[in-house]
Amino acid sequence: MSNYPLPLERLIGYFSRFPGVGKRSAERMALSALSWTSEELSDFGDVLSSLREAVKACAVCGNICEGDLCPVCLDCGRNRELVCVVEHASQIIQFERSGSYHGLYHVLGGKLSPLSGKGPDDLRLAELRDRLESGGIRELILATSPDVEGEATAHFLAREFSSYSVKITRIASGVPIGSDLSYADSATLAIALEGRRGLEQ
Amino acid sequence: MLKSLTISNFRNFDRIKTELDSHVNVLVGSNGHGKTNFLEAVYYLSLLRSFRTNQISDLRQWKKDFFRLECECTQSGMPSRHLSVTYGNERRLQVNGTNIYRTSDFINQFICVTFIPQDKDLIRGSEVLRRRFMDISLSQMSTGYLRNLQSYTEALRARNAMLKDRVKYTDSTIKAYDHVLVKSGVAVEMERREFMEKLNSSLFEKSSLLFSPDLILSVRYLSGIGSLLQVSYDDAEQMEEKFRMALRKNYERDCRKGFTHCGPHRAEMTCLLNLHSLLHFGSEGECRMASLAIKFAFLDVLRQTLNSDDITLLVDDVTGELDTTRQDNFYRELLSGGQIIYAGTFLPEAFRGKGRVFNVKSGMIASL
Ligand SMILES: [Zn+2]
Repeated sequence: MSNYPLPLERLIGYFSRFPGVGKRSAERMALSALSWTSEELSDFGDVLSSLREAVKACAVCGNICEGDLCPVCLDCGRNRELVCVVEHASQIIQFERSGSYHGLYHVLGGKLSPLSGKGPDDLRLAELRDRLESGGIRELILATSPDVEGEATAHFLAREFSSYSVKITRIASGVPIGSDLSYADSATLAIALEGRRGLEQ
Repeated sequence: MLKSLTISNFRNFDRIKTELDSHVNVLVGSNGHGKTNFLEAVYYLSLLRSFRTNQISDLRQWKKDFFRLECECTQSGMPSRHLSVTYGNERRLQVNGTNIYRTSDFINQFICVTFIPQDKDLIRGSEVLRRRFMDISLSQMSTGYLRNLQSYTEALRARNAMLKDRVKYTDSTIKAYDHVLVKSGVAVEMERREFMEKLNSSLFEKSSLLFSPDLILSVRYLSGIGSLLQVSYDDAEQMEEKFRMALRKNYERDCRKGFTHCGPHRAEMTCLLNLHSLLHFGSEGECRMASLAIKFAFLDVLRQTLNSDDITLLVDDVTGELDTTRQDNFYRELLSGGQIIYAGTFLPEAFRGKGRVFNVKSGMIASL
């Protein structure tokens, strides 16, 4: 027998779409799901089918959350004068784990990447402009990746928002050049936040 | 230094395993039996590129799914390391059994310098080859160089992509790349200039191996940033300002043509004999000897920079057109230090009684 029954093959197909999961692991995951109880499987199905409904983007910052606003934006204890600009919502989790940042965030949804056809229109810039115009923000911390595209994106943002009376800073590269910020450890990010610097415009 | 080499499914080799001498190794055989392929395999393990082709899948033996190269090597007395490259649908790199994902973390575990017939293209071939010579040479001497070159290349590609699509990318998006472009570009530029100066001081001595003393061989770096001959190479800030100005000045033209007109990617290296350009005025023989002299000068710079003799010289019979005196100089210089892997149709007198001799025939190798 060269193939699994079709329903199992379909499940394997889905599992292998996850990052870091190869064909073999996907097979093991699918086979292991066969041993679950009907209740567990049906709950798993519910979680998946309601995922899009249940998890949304925060209306203010773009963070992933359950309601309209994310816990960070709802937290009255945060410093609302500080906004840390990140590429992806997953990086917010990293900053939160570092425990050294108490301001707000803004998710860009990526970085400039002309080689993959990604330009300014593909980033959440209008939302950031709205936030700046409604006032109260004193500092924008640019925390895009310390690689070529992330660095260019930071320079782009610095110029783009230079007309607002807001201080624009860039996190220091405590993170090695060429690395992906999503995989940096919290300690490194804490150092990077500590040493943020001004950016010539 | 290379201690042993195992080659599988590579060019005309099925599978061979060879222990190498720390000083002299001579591969003897008729042409077309695999001597150059052996050198190519060693070069690939050192730099993950070939000196003959850009099409790496060509290196796989006919109808095989993958090739595999393994070696045991040391560098300047460090503990020996086991390197392996498996090239099938994708390339897999290992050092001491651990997977390595970045080219820059794998290359230069042992250092190679080639003396091959293709070297003569350094003088007369396209300018791309001279930039490649500078880039590969510098990446062997400085890890920072490779990193800056990679950043520069990435920023340049992004900029050119944007210049071709002015509807999607505005001036401010394009200019956002200037900072990285200028910083990494100037770092590349400075290291190249410094290299050219060192190369010239070595050439002053090494050219006498091949040219009569009244002939002075030199190289000159022509910057891709503009006429910068007056700017000394250690003033980065001044050079960054020049580069920024050049980008500004060329901006309209860049937009019109859809590519970047200035920068280290447009730099040139010219070779001069008594201040006459060899590219334009050199004879076939002069160009051949000049390329050899430049390789020896580079070897000298490399030894000084690494502060070590531990370099593997890959030599593919380049002495054919030299007279006896020059041949003697050539072999004496090769033997002055490091490891030699020499490929030729016969055993040169200079190597007799030294190291090991191998016979290469139809993809097989036997120690004599
Ligand atoms: Zn939020």
